[in-house]
Amino acid sequence: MSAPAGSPHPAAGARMPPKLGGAASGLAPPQQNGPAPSQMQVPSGYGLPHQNYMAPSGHYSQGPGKMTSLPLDSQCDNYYSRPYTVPTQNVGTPSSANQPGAQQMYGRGPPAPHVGGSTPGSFQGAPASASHSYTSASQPYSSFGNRYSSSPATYSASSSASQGYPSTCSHYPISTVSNVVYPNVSYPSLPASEPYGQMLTSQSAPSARPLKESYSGPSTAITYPSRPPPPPSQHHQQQQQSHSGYSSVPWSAPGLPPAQDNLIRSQMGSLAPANSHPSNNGVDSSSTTSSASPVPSSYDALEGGSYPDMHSSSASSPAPDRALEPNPTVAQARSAAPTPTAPHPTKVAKPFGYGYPTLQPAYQNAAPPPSSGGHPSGPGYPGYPQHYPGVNQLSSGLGGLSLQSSPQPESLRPVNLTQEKNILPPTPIWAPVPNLSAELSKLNCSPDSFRCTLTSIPQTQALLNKAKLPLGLLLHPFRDLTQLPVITSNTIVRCRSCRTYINPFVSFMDQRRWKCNLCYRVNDVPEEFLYNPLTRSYGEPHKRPEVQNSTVEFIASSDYMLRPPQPAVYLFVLDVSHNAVEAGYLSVLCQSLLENLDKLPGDSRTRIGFMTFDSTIHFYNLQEGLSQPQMLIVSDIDDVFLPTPDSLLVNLHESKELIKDLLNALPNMFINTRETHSALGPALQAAFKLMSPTGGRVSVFQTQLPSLGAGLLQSREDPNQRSNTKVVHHLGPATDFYKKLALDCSGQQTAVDLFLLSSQYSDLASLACMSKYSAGCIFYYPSFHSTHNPSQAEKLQKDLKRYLTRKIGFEAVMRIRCTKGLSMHTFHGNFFVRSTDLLSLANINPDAGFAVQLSIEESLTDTSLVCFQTALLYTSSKGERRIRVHTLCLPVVSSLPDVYAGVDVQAAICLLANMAVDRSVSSSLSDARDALVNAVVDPLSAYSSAVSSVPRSTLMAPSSLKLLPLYVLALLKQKAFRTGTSTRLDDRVYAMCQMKSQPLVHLMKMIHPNLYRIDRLTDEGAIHVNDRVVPQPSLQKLSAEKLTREGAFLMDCGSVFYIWIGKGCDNNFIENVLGYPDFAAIPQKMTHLPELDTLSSERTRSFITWLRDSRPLSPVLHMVKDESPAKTEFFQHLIEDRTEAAFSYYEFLIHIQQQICK
Amino acid sequence: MLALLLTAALIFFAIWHIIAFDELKTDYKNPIDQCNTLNPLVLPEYLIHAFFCVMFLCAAEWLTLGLNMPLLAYHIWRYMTRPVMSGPGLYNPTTIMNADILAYCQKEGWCKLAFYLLAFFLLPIRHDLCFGELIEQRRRIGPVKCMQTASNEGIISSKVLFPRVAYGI
Repeated sequence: MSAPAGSPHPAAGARMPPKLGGAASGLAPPQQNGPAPSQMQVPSGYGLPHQNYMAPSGHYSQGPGKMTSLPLDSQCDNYYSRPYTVPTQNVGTPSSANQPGAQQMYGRGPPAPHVGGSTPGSFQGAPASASHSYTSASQPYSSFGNRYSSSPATYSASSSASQGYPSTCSHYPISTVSNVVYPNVSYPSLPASEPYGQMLTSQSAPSARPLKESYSGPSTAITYPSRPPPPPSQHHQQQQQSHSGYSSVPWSAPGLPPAQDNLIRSQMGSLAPANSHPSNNGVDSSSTTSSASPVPSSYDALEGGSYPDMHSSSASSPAPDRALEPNPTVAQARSAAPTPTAPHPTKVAKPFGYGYPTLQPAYQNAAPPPSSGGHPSGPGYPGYPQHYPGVNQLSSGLGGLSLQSSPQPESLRPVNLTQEKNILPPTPIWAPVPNLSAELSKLNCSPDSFRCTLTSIPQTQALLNKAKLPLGLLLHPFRDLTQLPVITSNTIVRCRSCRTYINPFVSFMDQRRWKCNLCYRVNDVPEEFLYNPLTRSYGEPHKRPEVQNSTVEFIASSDYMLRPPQPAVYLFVLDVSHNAVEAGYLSVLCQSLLENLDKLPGDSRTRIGFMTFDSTIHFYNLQEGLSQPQMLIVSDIDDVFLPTPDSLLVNLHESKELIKDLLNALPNMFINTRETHSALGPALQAAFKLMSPTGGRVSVFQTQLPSLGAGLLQSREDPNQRSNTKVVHHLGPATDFYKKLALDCSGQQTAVDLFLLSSQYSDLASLACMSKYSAGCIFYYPSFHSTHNPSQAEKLQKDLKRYLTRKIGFEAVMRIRCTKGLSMHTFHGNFFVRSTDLLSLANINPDAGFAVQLSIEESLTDTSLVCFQTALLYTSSKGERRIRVHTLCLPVVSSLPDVYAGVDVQAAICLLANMAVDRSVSSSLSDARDALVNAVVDPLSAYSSAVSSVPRSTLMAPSSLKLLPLYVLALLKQKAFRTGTSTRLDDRVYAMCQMKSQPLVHLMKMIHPNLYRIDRLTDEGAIHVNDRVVPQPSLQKLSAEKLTREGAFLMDCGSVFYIWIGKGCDNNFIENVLGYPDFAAIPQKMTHLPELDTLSSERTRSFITWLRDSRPLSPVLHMVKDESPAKTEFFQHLIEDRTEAAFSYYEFLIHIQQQICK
Repeated sequence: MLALLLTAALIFFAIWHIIAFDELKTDYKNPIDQCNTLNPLVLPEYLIHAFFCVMFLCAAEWLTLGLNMPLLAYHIWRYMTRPVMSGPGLYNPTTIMNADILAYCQKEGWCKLAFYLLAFFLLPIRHDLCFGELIEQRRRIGPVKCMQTASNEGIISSKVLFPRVAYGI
């Protein structure tokens, strides 16, 4: 009766024993029939799953050997290297009576005596750090615990006894059942307007975590607090009884369960009528990992074909399930099929190549072969089909099951690249779906957030080396999501050894234990986790939202913070030298800020500050109470100090009027400046000093090469070398000043975002370091001028709108874990790598992407699935600590063709781009280009030697890889890697920065733009979005041969749209869409489509709007007339064409073929 | 004796590096701190080794010099290709966690350790050889001078390093 060791809630356990003692003996006699010894063999926590776990148990025994070698808690979360320093707020400053607005010159000297302009007692703007803590997180739950105290006896007795764990009887988690359902009570600070689609608001708790299919209907109306407690407990009791009945006690199986099931169902119906998930059947459905096996034929037949129905109707399947329970053959089938997370007898490791015939039938069901459909047996490749006899056989055997009629087989179809004319499909390319069982695929992480270059992981490094493909992950962890389950829980369930968060791919050994899918350690399920607040049912850990969604967000407790969550702090550091004033960005910025001041993410503690600099540094005292902003000038740039440390960053809400005054005045303040120097380095040092107590975001606007003080740079670019084909120098930084500064900032949780608006060379390679290592972002506007270059001004304005209002996470860290045997190798993106798997991100924004290279350290022979998990811990702008967890699950394959079948070519290209950037900086650009070409040559030659029947003279590729040469050619023609074409060094470096930090979706558009013909859009195949018809023109290949003079084409390059209008374009189009009478009347610089009331105009605009809506940074539209000088801009993106310095696509293929034959 | 001490110091440096990189690998330390502790040690190590080479050169110990030259060249190359840094040192905290670089650094550490250990054990042998020569010389030169030279015996290094200089052969 004592609480088991390691219980997370000893207090709860201690409270319970007296009640339990009586209850266990009195209330649930049948359960006592579930004796412990028999339970040892057949864990009865689940009706069906216990048989699942019976079979693999032999294989689990392999696990412990590994597990024991794992250090316990080896990865405790030391997320911060530095202790939290209490913000120094009240620096005693004599308040010399300064006239507001007076400019004070500070010379060299200690700061304190010079401090002025602040009145005593005005320090309340200091961070309210202490007031914000989560210490009371568990407090609110106690009331709910009490609510249950009326019925816990029945509750616990039935559950514990039926589980055959008498020792745990005493330990019913009364006080911990609270989690998800009671957010309103627990977190008063929960934001009501966070941009999540689903919020944890007061009474609508269930809607806060939308399970994918289930809780869409009336179930969302269930509000737990409003319901009386007895029904659930009764419900549980019945459930427990029934499940004990058919778990291990044979006599109860035939008679009792159906009746009780009816009871259950009626209960369920009353509780959650619309809750249609199979797991709501309670104990009779298996655990999540195994509940939907991919339609094994035998299984399906035995189940009476009802299996798929389980998804839609909770009432359909229980009876057949139960009836089949005693049948050992079914048990076998079940056990084998749906436990892919376990190291299972059905390994993929068996050296059968393509033919799976000797695999256990269950395995065939669990991971159907990639090419089950017929594949073309072209006459040219006679030997090829012979590789698949087993597969074909199998597919015919599985015929009718229809589940595997996926396009998978297509991915291995050999394609003769040199003969295939239209290699580009007419529709956008989607990420390949990992070859997993239907249930796992459904649970798997969205490819938008998490993608792997190989959707089938090779079993060994040797196999990976043979395939010559890059293995890595592409992450977009903080993506804007419309649906995100947010979980408030006292205990966040994690593996005790590797600290993995519980996820849909873990396996539940029984009700009380789960097996980590990354390190295979068996963990206890905490009491709290047994209660599912969504269904208000107990004993269903596999139905918790954590286990039903591969992307979840936890509200973290105080264990996950080393200091109170910081407020949102924004500092703007603005260049106001002559060059900057001339460019006129200040007015754009101030206008944007004024418009978006209220939309800045944050709460009541949000703070904001401004600094400007030329050869001196100007601070602005915006302390509440001043009549107007006060400018403080520090001219000593060699030893920067803060004139008034506490009134420079002010509370946004308290000082809003002053801030607005300043923003209105700023554009004109420096209008007559003659100062041409720029002391960026000292200004950044000052910004660092200003931000270090709290951390936050520094936005730096710079328009020229820094020329004064620390971090000054010299021009390194030789314009004559811009089109040099051989070597490109100066891709790396000239000084480590900015890197060091960024590391300091990163240590103080400050990110530096750089906006570079320059007309000349500004050494972005050096400046970018300030953002790269502090997890900031970089925006670059070449030849920016607010009036001469309106399109850039528009772009800045739009970017700023997004930048200022987008979600932001502070003091973030991201840890990436992967199944034992795999290891992270190299990271790409903007961050600082703190340890082998931990990235330190001072800020995280929704537009940041990351890439990770992986290597296979140990052979993955004893597992059929691998999982990757990223956990992003951050402080939201509302001051909450949150953890966003993504989990991706992929199958392991043992044969080369399987590896090729699973290639995600877009992800591979993005990873290659990242690797090539690294290579060009560390080695040289030509090295990187060679490596890129080799990245095509190697896999293709490996493929043709693997498929030996292919004649060497043809260039064959599996269908999954057919776009690889095209994309690599596109990469070679990118600004970042191209040679021979005149490219400014800053443009090149910026393109490299983009490649490193952009998420896959945006990067792909940049590498390979989409070209559409838009002069004759039709509604054929159109989709409907928000009551608007969006035409879907087909993709054109990027070649001038597709551009007809009679047409108009839209090119979508991600951050910019081009509309090319042919000379002979139909006048109807020009008139109806562009609003000009004929071609000659179209102006050279046109950046908007007029809103005309014609069908074609509407179609075009709705198409462009639809494209725009799909990306965060609204792209600028450029109209390019045929024969206008801007044409080159457009034509450089036609990557399939030949240029003076680069191959055409066909020539590139020939070149590759020669390389292969060599 | 000095030579042995210096070699011991080199061994210490190599071990220190190995431990440091291992600590990095097992997440015990922050790469910034670790690089800050490692970077100041790089140059002394290289200088000590260069000093050795110069001494061998002076002593016309061609064989030993030949053995040491590759390492010297490697050191020079390594320092020439170091990342852009304002301070002395080699290691860049932003790239050190790259598995390739970390593995390389660790391998480098082990190789150097092996080399220095070899040197450590070879030095006395060479010293013995020198000593044997020395005794022969003494025999030739005569007992008196032999005694005089024996008084200098304490400073082995001078004899190891400058056997011919010392005896004018």
